[in-house]
Amino acid sequence: MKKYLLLLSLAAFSLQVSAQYVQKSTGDGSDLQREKSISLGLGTTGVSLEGKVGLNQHFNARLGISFLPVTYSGPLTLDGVKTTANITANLGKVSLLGEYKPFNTLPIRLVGGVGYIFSASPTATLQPTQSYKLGQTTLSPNELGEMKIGANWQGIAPYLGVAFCHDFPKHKFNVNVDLGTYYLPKPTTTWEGTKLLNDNQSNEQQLDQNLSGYRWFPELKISLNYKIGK
Amino acid sequence: MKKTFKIVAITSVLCALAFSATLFSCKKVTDGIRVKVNTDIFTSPIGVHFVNYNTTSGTRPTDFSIKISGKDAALVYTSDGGSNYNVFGGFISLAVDKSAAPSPTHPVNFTITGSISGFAPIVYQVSITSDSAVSIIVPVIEYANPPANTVVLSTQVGLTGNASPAKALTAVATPTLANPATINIANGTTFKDASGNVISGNTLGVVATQYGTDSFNSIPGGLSPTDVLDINGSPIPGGVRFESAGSLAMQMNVDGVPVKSFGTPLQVNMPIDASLLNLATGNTVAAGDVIPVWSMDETTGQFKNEGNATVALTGGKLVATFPVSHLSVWNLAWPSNPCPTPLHLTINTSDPNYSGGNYRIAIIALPINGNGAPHVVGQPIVTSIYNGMTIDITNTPTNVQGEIVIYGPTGPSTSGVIAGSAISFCSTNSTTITVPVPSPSVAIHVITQFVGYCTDKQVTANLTGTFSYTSKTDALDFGNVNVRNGYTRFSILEGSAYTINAIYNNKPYTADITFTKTNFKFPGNSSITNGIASYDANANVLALSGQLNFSCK
Repeated sequence: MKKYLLLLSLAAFSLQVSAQYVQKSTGDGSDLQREKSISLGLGTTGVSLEGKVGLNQHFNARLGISFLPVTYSGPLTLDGVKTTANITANLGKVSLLGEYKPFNTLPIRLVGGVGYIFSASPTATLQPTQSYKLGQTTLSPNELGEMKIGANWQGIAPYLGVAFCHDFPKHKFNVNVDLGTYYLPKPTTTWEGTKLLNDNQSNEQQLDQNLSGYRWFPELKISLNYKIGK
Repeated sequence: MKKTFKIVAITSVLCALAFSATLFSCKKVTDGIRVKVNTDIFTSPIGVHFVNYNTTSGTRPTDFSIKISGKDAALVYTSDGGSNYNVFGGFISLAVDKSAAPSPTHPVNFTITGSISGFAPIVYQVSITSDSAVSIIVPVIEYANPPANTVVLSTQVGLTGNASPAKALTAVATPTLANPATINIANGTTFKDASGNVISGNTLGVVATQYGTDSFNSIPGGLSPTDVLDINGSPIPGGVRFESAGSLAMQMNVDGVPVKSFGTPLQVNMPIDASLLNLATGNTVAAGDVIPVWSMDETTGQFKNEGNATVALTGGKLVATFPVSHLSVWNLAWPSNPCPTPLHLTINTSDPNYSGGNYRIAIIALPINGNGAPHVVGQPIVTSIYNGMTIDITNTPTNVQGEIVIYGPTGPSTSGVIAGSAISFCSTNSTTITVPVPSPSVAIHVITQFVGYCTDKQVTANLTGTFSYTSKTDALDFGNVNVRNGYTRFSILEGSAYTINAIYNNKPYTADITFTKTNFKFPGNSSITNGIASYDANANVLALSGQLNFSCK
């Protein structure tokens, strides 16, 4: 399970398309033009598509969606039980974020907002790979059955982070870096088994406790921005 | 100042990020997780108790090995899946392979054989006809303390040239068996081993147990054998029911080498109780009556018809004489065909929540044509009971008026009948008996969660099998509980002190428990570890949990 969560958290970087808008002065201060861009990102939360608009000189707004597909198939040892694990996890979220630019000269911004995790239900199917001798009985993997373990973080997740590099390209393209974390909802778990492993529901409560601290979902993302308009 | 605030804000965000990363990795996901494996891979849990037939003797069968033989022996395991059948504390837990799907039409038949020092050989036939739990009590004759109406002959005969002189061996009469059988050895008789070779030696050792009317139920092989050959050696489908007129179990050796057959057949004179009912005539037995003679192979429990013995009046007493060409168990008995249809018995309990006890269900046949006396036929079924429980009783006698009776829960032979139902066997296919049970005010409902813990693999097994409980003070007070995946529910009298015994991995696990309406820990000398009892006063339920530690390598 730990491997699984590590996989989840160390997910592939993603391409990000973003649309960014910024509010820009026309020179005399009376006529404002909003800067905007679109970006394609790659990061720990997967592939993302995001749009950004400048609200004023210090604030931007971002609206995006990301998706992170994870599959894993391979050996996994759970509490001494050697298994073959098939893990699938599709993390999907939409996010509405605000950027605050505290410095006029430094290209760094504070980012905050919320995400809605609409898909965060990884499942792991574990099939024992070795026989077990219980008493004088040797139980084969086929006799034992398999276990299907699931967790669900679906819900609202606040976000806090920082962004580096200029918020809008001076010309057509630039690169942004985001570093932050989502605070996920408290997860709920399921633990089902088949055949002789069908009495493991009692592990759900323990797994709930063990996962209760797994609510911080860090995001490190690199985005390629394309400026829309002049 | 404003710039300072901004720097502090950004620093705080970075610190929060670092803190979140720390939290993310601080807890191991698998902490406290225990993979549980159910073990209900067998069916028909069978708890077998071996007891001294003489309940007044202080000697009990305790630790010994048994063998399982017969047609379906390969389908029988210890409850943890083994085929080393070791009895601990006079108890063993067996089970049947699920693929056998035992039923009245497809019973699982096997024979338990064993030898305990100081006791008569054990040969007990078992027929399993459902997936329900079965409790079996095997009474064993102690040579030094045989029950009433039973005698044991133990003697030696000197041999010359590996042959015996003419000898008439008779046990010492007792107040309850005034006419013991006589074993006649002809002059020059030699003794052969299992290969048919004459055994060389100087001394013939003889131990013979003669079973009387009070101990017919402990005749090796039982009175309802299913593996029976007719006089031509052909199997008798469904077996037979025996009405025994006398039985002799003989063991001989020459200088310690077991004897299997003889150069010249022995002649046995078996006194016959004149009050016995001859099933063939419907009258009490009389001179001139013919009684079939059956021998049993004690290694398999198989009976074979060896011919007939004719009852003669000798010296004013009825005696049947028959030749014995081989050892070991010989039974004079009238056979009858069992009913082709099982009797469907439903048991209700006076307290519908009751579950437990150690009740015996027996068939009593009434006299035919007013002759003879009511008598128990076959071996009683021993079982715990619950409301609505059903049992299919097979091998009931044919066309006999009788009763199904239920004896009380305290031991195999001392409690009286507490409920019953008149039956016309073969005509009546079902009946219901309501059993008075201890009132809820004095009984405690007990539930359990017993697990096996692999000390080397961190796997927990939800145990399945028969656990026994035996009174610390009364040898006749014992019973079984059938645990499935760690769980069972039964009722027991408040204040009862028992030793719980489970056998796993060829090892006994025990705990001495006094069932009280309190919370307590199992005693420190328990081999069932981490044992605790939690009492719920509202539900009157005592929850027991404990752990059996063993290697899973």
